[in-house]
Amino acid sequence: MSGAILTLAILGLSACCLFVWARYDSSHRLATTYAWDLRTFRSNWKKVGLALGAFLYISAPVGFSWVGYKGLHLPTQMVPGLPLTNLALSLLNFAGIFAIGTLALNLLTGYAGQVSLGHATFIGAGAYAAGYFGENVKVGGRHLPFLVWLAAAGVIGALIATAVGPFALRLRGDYLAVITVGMLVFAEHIFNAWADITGGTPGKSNLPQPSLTVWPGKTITFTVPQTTESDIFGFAYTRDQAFFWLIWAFVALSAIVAYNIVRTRSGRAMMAVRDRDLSAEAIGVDISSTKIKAFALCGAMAGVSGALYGAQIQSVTPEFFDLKLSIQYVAMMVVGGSGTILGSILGAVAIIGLDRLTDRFKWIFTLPGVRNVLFFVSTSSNEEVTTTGLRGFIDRMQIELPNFVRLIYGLLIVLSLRYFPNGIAALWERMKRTVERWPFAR
Amino acid sequence: MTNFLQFLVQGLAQGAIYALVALGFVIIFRGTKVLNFAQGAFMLFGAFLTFNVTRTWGFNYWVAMLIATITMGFAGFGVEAAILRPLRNRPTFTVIMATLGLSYAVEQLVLAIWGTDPLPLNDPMGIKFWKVGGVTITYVDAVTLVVTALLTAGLLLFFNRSRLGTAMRATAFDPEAAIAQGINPRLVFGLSWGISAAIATVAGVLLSSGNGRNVAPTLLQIALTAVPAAILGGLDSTKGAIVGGLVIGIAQQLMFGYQPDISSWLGRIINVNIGSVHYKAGLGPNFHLVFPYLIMVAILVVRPYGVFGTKEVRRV
Repeated sequence: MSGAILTLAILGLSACCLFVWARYDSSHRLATTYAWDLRTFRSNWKKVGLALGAFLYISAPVGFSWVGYKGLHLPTQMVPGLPLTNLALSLLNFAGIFAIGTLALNLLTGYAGQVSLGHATFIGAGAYAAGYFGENVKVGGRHLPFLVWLAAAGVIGALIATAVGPFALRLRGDYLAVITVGMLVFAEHIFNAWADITGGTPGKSNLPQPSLTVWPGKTITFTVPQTTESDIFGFAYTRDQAFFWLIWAFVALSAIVAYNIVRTRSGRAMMAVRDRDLSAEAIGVDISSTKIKAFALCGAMAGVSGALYGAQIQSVTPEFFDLKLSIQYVAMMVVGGSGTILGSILGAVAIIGLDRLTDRFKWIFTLPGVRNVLFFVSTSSNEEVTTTGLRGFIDRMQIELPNFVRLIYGLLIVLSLRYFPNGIAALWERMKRTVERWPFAR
Repeated sequence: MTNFLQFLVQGLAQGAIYALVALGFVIIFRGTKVLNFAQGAFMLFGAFLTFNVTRTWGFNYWVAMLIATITMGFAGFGVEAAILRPLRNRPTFTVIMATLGLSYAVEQLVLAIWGTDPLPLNDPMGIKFWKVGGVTITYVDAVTLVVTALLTAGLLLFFNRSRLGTAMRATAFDPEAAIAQGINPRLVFGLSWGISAAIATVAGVLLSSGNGRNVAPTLLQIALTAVPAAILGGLDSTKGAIVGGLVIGIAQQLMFGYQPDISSWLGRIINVNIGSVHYKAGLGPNFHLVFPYLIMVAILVVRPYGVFGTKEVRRV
């Protein structure tokens, strides 16, 4: 009980400090020189966010005991001493992997304005390239190290994206969307056909697992299960914990790369191309190279995301990398907020979280005139409704959980485009503005 | 030669379906400048609705098709009013995403109501066929061709002769001038969507009828193959949609028929040596399924506005 009060007190105090600091900071919001506009921390919010992010990054898998604080314990914990269960951690890991891919898509579509429905191609290429370079290629009888095959996946993704890029020089809008769909269909065919590399339709299993050599003789491995022997700094960890630190480090890295790009010259060129390509060319932006660079960057980051996805899930099949995955990425981007860095991460966490949150519920109800209505069924409890004869409106209304989640994706895309065109990130921007200018703006 | 004619007949029937779906793309694109990725969803829902009306509720096949077509027509109108109209004048990307989201949601709804198993329509055409000089022509293929021809002729008459059709063409040509003339834009935009959804339903039902064919969620992929057809003909040309659909259908069937003979080079097109290991990468089986997309890429590179489309004058 006292723990909860202490937690609330600390949170309240932090909020007050934040409020005062943000108000103090607000006088510096408007840029008066170009250099001032280009600086890394345009407001104190970013410093606070960075500090908070770093704190959570360390704390999420191990709890707050490392700062001597034991007040907060969630009731759901399954592993003693951890604030988050391994399930929740693996969820966050997937969210992190998808966040990297969404960042990539956001750079291409949100910032450079090039509509791409072929994002799954780059993700798939990254996963298969990682599988090939990490598992099949051997130098001197040894597997390539983790960072090398990860980089190789990024390079392959970038190469494929660069090959698609030139189409964007001729085509815009609808036509670009169409050609990326064409590319995706073709890529899926190749994933199925090129069995030597991709394992064909059954898929490729035993994808390489990351392991980091911290210093000679000290290697962190990520394979399951962990014993107390293989520890990081005297601390035994599970696979999900280790993956959390690994993946979110890459999320942070990608976010920093993306942020620095959109903050500086090349990012501004991308946004100029997005907003009006004719004007962009008139002020001296090289449209062709900007578009190609955006594609290459997107492909590289998506490739890394795909490689990490393969490492996390350990086996991939071609049917995973289809139009649905592309739409899922688009859903994350749109829900989070296209054209924002923070939005990419929030969108990925929100959509992936939706996957599992719905797992807790089971709604069964009856509609007039309908015999059986089982609204959605958790995948874990395979409850079947007995149906006789032909199925249809009268007989059956059953939404399996994955279908329900996808239904939500579809509706979320449509609704957020209609009502929240700037996504979750816009809510955050609005909150900042409210705090900074209160009571003059809301 | 008999083989060739056989593939040609099958290709024509398949192409007629593509032409119908592509016609839906074209009508919407001309009317509202939206590339409607939800066309396949209309097709899917219409076909399953027909199944429901004929099998679950016991109506005659043709009556069921008519009921579903009219219902889907109204549904298309409603979709335009509810989803697309508020998004007018938004960036292209937003509109594409909205149609994709809609398509996705509808697909899941269909899976929720009717499940994933293929469902037989029990249509009157069945497995019946004619044999003309060694070439098999199934009833379904013949009906498909006739229905497509009738629908196309009817639509052309509607667009060129009727008052409403002229209003639609006028709005497509210059929306502001058309509105100034007293044309109701909501009616015209909604009508383009309604007509497209209705045509898609007919295509979906025909595609699910006949020997060994069922109503199944895979219809969605076939609708996607109509995109190359629409692009080939030009996204704003009715004539282009018909020609493009037929060309894509025939090309696909010929590729399907003759690929086994030429797979000696098609199946083993990439030879890669990495290190000391020799890899063979083939385009493999089912190449005919991706062939239309390759045609589309070629067309987009050479003539982005299609064979019959209006050239957009713009240089960047």
